[in-house]
Amino acid sequence: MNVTEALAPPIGLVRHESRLQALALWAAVLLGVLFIVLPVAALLGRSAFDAQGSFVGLANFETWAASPALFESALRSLRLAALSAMICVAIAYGCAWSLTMTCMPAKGLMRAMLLVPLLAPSLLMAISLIYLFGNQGLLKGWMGGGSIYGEVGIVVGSVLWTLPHALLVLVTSMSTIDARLYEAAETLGAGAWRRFTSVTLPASRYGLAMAWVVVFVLVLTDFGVPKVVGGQVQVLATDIYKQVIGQQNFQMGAVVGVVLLLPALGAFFVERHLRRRQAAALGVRAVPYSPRPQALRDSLALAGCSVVALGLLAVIGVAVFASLAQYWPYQLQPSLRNYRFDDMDGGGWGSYWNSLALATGTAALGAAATFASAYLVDKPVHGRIGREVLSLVSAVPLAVPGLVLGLGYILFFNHPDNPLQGLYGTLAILVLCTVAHFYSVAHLTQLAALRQLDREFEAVSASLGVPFWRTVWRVHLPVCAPTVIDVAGYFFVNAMTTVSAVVFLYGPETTLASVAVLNMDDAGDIAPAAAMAVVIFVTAGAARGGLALLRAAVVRRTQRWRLRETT
Amino acid sequence: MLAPNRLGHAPTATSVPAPETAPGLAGGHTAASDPAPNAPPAGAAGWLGIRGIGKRFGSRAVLEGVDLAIEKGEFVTLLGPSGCGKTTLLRILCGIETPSSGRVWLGDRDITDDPPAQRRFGVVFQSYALFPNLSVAQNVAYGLAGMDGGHRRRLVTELLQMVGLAGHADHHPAQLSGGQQQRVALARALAPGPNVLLLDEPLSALDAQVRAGLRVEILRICRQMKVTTVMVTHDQDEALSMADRVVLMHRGRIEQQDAPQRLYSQPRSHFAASFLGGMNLWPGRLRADGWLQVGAARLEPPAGLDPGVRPVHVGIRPEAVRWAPEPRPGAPVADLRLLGRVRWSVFRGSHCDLGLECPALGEEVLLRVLTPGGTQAPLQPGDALRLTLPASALVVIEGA
Repeated sequence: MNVTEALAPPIGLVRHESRLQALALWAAVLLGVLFIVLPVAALLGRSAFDAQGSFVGLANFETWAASPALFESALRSLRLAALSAMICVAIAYGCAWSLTMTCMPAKGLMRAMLLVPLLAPSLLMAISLIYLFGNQGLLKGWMGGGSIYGEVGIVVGSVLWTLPHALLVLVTSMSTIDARLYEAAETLGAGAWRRFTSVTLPASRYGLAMAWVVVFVLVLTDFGVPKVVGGQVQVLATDIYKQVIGQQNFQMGAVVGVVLLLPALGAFFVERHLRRRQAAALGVRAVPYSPRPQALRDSLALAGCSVVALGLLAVIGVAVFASLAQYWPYQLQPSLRNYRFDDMDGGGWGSYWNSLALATGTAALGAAATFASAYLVDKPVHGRIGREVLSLVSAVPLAVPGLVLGLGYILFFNHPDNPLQGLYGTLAILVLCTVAHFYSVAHLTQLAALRQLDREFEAVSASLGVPFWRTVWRVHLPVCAPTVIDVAGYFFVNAMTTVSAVVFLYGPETTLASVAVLNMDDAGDIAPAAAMAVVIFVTAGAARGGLALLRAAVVRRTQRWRLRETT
Repeated sequence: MLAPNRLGHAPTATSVPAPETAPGLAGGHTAASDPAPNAPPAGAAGWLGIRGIGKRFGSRAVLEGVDLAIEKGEFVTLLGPSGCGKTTLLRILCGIETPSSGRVWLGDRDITDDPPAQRRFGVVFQSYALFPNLSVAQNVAYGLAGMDGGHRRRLVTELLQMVGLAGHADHHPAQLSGGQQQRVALARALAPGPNVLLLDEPLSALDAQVRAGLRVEILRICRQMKVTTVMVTHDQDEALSMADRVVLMHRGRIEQQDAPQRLYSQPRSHFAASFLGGMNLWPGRLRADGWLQVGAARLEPPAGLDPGVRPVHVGIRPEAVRWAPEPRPGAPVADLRLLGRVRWSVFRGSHCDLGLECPALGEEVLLRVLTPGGTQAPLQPGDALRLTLPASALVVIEGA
């Protein structure tokens, strides 16, 4: 065989493949900088200028610190977030322990019930609290003369909606405990309590700390619950809103934003550190623990979990029930009058359709973008610097609260000198901002899925003369399809329920359902607000259900290879 | 049933357009069209030529000045302990890694800067890297995109027959055993008719029995396809039993390259001597009278040794040590003849490894005796014996 004949390039493009990858990589970095980094930078910058646009250094921060109301609300925010996180993690730990370390019956059902609040906006919980413990609440007597409005309401509401987040972190952490440790403890004569204190607790300490940090940040940066049940009590999140929307004081809004960003940033690094420590503490070949039945323990676990799960469902149920009642709590016959949103402020059913469009767009764009960015971070052989930069940019949203990102978007995209100013007030910017807001978790999920693939797939297809994009299409995408669908669902549900970033960005033509809940509640139309929250909840649930069916169909079609039939 | 020449050439002949690059190369054996000063004379460096390859990761040198010439159709193994740079060298050959220095030549062409796809090297990775969502047939056909459907199907069928998986075309990799997956990876790598086949520890993930069978299979297939093959392995048995030539690597350099038998019988360094099988290796010196001195013993040197007083190491394989029972068992081992006494013994099935004390040498002597069919070893700890170290079996390694 002639040497040169054998050496002819099979495809002319081959030489350009790594260049194409580099181009895509830097394009992704550019987009990340444009839609994540620059808005945050705009916010940081704005905090150092006065209303006339002259540089004032830290003067705005001095004004902020000198204002007793603002400074106190910062301290209050930290205190309430810490307290909520403590209560929430304590309850979630019990549930996570029951789900992983016992043989209680109906585990799947319990888990599903405990995770239901993920589908509802945090506002829904707060509205339910008002129906239960408000001035005309069913259970007002339980408050013993106190009021749900204020710090109590914020803590209770926050615990209710953050519980599933803490549960997910804890279950993941506890299901990785090495079973051999229990076997060793048992052969050394340790009783159940000693096994718990000497194995379970130490092994789940990073999970506990991570769950606490996650809930702390969620509560600190949440805007819905304090807005609805906070009453006169102000926190950082409501301060930003008041400064920007109420007083059009962007400098002070930016300052509060920076103040909110700092603890979130700190929590981000603490969480990352904890995650690394946990990964390092895990044995390479940990054996998963499978508990043995033990009647008393299992019944107690079931009882405890049932109380929490039914409690959560009851709270959500109250809002559903109230929204369907003629006039709560006096006329309880069913009626859909609260669902006639077109008679109310807040944008009517139009805002629901906007939200649906936003959620669909976010799901599609978000799933595609995170798949691409995860691929570009993990797979190309070359461009190490570009890949590290992209990885870093993709992690930024994890540390940036939604309110801060939303305010950054106004300051950056509404700036008269920005050529992209036309985006402002459109649905497109809402989609982009929501994708950016929830980018990190989705990116990391896709990355984890892609990393399960063999490291040598790229090398194999290169050595066979097959361009990388064909391998992505024929192998990576089909294998990762279930993850891509999960990520789409994550984006959809979050886009439906979020208020924090978008509250600054919606325009008259782009009102949103979740914001409508807020505005109707603000106007005193609590029942319609509850009704809209229920519509969001049902839509998110339906979308999750629909995507679960799609996922099952895709798995049947493309994942046949996972089933190990004997030949 | 099988037409190896067609298998080997068909894809190249049908799917590859005529080369538009490298005018003047088609005819000949001169490197005139390449003005690079380090260009080797064409043909002199073998079919696949590696010239002064070095690779650094940061400040760590993984490969240094590696030169290697591989002839067309040859089966070469790169053997060495983990971390010796053998896998890095393989990855440089297939173009996944770029060398920090040096050039790679294929025939009369410098392919150092060619991307993997342009080299047409088939690669079988340690993990096989079979696409899990594609069937066996789709995996094998993966590199045959440019070929028309009927042709491709026939080729895939022939390849699967050759690797003994004709009935598994529609299965997915997860349904196959490790050995079967390995053969699919081999068929996939061979399908486009590669210039060179690269095997990265292809058998290391398999258990011992499957491994032995597959060695024979791989050799048969490579011979049948007449494909130039480079295999990386850390398993000396594998290297010795499969290769035409073993390239022994150590710390990023080639320690020695030779035919397997020669490498085993005439290692030229400490490392080569000790890495391949057990070896007695004792410090000694070459005396003015031409004899070797180890401890208090005087040994007859092997033929062809350069004269001159100098420190050397003297080695002998444990199975090459000859012995005879000492007529008076239990007698003190006092004189300076090569008398020894068994100190320990380890039964290994087909043979028995013994450790002897030998006061004359002042060193422990390893001895291997056959125990055919697991018979009782002829020597027990405490037994005394007389040793002979045949000059022809002695290995002399220069240096203290």
